[in-house]
Amino acid sequence: MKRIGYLSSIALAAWLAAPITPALALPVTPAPGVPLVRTVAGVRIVEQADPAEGLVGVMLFLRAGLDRQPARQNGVAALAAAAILRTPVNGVPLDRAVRARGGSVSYVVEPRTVRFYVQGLADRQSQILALFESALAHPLFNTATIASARAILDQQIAQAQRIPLRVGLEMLDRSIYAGSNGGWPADGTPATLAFIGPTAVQAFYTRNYRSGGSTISAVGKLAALPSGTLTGLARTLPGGTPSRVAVARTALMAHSRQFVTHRSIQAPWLIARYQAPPLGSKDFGAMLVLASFLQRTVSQIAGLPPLVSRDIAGSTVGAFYRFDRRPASLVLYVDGALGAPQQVFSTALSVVHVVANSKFTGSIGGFKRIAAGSYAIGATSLRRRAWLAGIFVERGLPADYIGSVIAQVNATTPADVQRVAKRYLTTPWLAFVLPRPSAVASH
Amino acid sequence: MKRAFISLTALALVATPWFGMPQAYAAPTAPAQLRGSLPHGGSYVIRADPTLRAAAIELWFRAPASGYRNRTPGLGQLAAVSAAAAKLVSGISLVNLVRSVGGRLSVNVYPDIIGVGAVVPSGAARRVVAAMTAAYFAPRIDESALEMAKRDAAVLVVESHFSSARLLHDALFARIFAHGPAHYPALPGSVTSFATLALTPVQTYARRAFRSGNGLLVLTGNVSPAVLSAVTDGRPGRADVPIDSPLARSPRSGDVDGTGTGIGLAWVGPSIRHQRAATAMDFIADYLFRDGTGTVQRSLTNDDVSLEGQFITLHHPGVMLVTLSGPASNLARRRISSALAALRKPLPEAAFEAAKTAFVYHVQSDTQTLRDLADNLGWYAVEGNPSYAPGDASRTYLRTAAHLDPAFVAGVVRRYLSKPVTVRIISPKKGTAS
Repeated sequence: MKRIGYLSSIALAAWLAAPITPALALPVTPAPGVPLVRTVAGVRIVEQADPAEGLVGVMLFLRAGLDRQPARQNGVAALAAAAILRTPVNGVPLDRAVRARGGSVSYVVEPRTVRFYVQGLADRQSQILALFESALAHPLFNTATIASARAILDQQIAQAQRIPLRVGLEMLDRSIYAGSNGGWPADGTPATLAFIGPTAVQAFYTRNYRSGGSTISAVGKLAALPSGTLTGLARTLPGGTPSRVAVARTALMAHSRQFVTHRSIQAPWLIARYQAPPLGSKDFGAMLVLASFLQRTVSQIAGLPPLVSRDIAGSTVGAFYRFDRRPASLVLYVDGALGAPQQVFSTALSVVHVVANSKFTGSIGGFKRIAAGSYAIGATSLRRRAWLAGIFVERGLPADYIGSVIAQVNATTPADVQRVAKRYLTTPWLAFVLPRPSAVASH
Repeated sequence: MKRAFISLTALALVATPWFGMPQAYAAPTAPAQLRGSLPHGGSYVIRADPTLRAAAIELWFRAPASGYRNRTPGLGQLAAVSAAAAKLVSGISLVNLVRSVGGRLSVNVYPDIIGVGAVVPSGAARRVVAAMTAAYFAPRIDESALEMAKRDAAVLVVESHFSSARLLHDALFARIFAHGPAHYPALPGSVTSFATLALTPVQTYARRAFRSGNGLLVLTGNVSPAVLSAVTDGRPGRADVPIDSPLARSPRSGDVDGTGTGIGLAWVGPSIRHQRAATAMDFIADYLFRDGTGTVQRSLTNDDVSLEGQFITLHHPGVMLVTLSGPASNLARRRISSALAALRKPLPEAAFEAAKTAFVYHVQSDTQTLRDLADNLGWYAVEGNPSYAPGDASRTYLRTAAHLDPAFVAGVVRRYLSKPVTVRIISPKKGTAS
């Protein structure tokens, strides 16, 4: 969330009481950037050609996420990915070798997948991908590489602990996946990482880095890639599909729960998590509209002025829809530096409650336009485009990740929104990240 | 490069032939880029990418942030935001129009230039072009809009108190430049200094600064030249010349009141016309200071210090600016001195080529989104060298970067990066008004 219109104080009233007006249809402009999909060696390959770009981005989705970590090996998924980036290729760690050739390589560990993202100058990208393939196929999991990877993860963990929203979400995630490892912290913890050695990392890699079920999503100046480049990447991994993982989840709607922790921060953060429909659900479009409404409303409750100058609003209060996660969720958050966080937070929760339990007949055309527009403008960077195309195809959804979503939003009716609000926005789970007493005293 | 202030949020993201490249770079196909004159004064540049479903629409002006007499810090900010917040003939403001289509509007005021930008779904581009040009080429600022702008500016002022980088930036520019817009902060240090500002001077400033003849409209993304017919306001006229600020004869280092620990370093560099030297300064900033990859930056990974360093490309002259905040600022400063001393000698060829390739990638990566591209096309045009913009279809910048060599870069270090002007943050003693 970025801006707050100064007329938004009437938003709730309009939501609940405005007369019915026909919703304006949002234009679904056919665009030449609709992704193409094929399957090679069990790997789905999604391609979005963009001749105007000077770069190519390639994202690889592997079923090697947190939920595949064995007991007492919290962090092994991140350690394996980080060690691949530190694997020497031509005598230099992969991340440095890629940098020197005009690119970058990174990874993200998620509950079910690990995603590698390799971006580079279009005419260098095939060389860069060859380096990546080399490290991916023949990672060096020796003591030195694991130690280097562990040191990087320790730094990342320390930095993450300074971000209250992340701390709060990790607490909530851990509880949602109470019966499995999918909710463990993405990078593990320094204590658990210290006890994971090369043998465990190698075993994790051997078990889970398989071509079956993986997806490659490429975007940018694809014409610059020699033919067979992406196919080569698809054939890099050994065949087979990682064994299924049973994921036990706690039912969010059953009851509300609260979690509290303390960190060295200046002001408290208050976070609420609601269950939400996953990508591909018939309720997805309606939840996007609801999320758009709540995003605006929570900011106006906080009384922020109509900022058009900077991104302050998005860093202090807001709401976002984690539709890519399974289970998906809707998150509301308030930064206590605002002054009266309890009041803002409780009012926001009340608004959600009202939306979920009041009958309304207002027009939702405005919120549909906002939802569709926000979604469309959020899909402009190569990384984001590769990610969206990848998760849509991975879930068996249409590869046109913008057109299909706009169509869903267009088709959403007030009754849909009401039904979705009633179903999902019931009992939130709450996380409170509070300053340590010593931190408050010293400031 | 174009100046970039720190983003507070923790949440949260081109081509013609490459002549004479020393390495085997390919020659990509040129994308469509058009330049021309707007129907009622002013100019435009369009860079289309039909594969996207969004468009960036920006207006850029040469305008002094503290007024034409440099006596009213915040005047440019208030005028620019008021124009966006004022109701148009249609009854809706630009702010609310952009919001209603799910877009994002931003107003960025620098000492000598002002940029207003919106990223919107492509289907709304025409309406937003019409509204944005109407809002600025024929501003309808009233008391209500000005009040909104004051509230917005008040938040910015308070926020800036927590930004040591901003504090150091303003203090360094005040020392480097004797007078002119760059000598003054774009925003005042306190809310009270603009709280009583009357409507008339804001309207007068807006009519002068935002006249169509002084404007550049930048369009990127899924947008066609046909949207230009939506521009119905303005009248022909000449653009102002780039606004330079005279340098101080012998700027002195010193202290500035603030909270925490921080050090700022500044070196006066080449103007935007000296493309090769300016590009070399960008290369040096990238090599030493870039987040995640810069050699100095990486050497400080385990130390409690935040480092930001960039060359700010201006009409004349540019400025290399480094800000350090945190307990390890002194250590970081020593590392910077050592790194610059080492760069006075040419880097080994292989290391230089690797660093240059990484730099070229970073430039393309940094101009990759439609907003980043529009920002660069706008900034470099109003600073006086449009075709030199990173991301411009002429690829002038990338060709210049490709021709950098170790000896030239070392020469630029020796010429421009010797003794910096330094500002140190000191916390005022208890009981002392800052």
